[in-house]
Amino acid sequence: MGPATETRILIDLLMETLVKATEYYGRAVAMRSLLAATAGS
Amino acid sequence: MGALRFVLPAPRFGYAAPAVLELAAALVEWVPARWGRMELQQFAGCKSEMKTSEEHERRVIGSLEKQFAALHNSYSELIRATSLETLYHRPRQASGRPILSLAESVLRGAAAVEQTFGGLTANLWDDPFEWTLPENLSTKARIIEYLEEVAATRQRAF
Repeated sequence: MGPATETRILIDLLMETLVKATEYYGRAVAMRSLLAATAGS
Repeated sequence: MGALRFVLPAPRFGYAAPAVLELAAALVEWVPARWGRMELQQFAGCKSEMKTSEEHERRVIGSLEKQFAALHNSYSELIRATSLETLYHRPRQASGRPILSLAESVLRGAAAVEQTFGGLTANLWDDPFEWTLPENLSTKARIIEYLEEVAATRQRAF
């Protein structure tokens, strides 16, 4: 496996991780909105 | 001999020979030079393409680094801005499906980052599920501390 291929695999892994971590952040923000709405109602 | 004369008439061949030899000599010089130039051009093109590709990859990795740093800040701000009572609060769902609390979502996201960068830097690909459970990270300070540890692992990798 060449260095270029390794770099691409690394980028894929980092992007996959970033997407996953961002998705969890989105869930957390959604939960905060939900809690705020619940508290306000 | 007669047959040879018939096949290759001497006068025609005699006139053509110098020109053919001259052309052959020119080709002997020109072809390797041309091929050499082509190879050089192709090599230069590949090198230029490789350089462009490397630069592009470097830019992508740099951009990913910034995105991870921004996400870390967002996680931290969200935890700081949330009260302790609501950190692990799970509102009742009408469907009965389990739903993650705010802190659990943040911790799962941070755990994904830790797993990837822990794997890359120390070959530790274990799922950090166990040490990111609410009972282990019950306060805002503990959560922030864990987020900082993940950020440090990430920074080592970059």
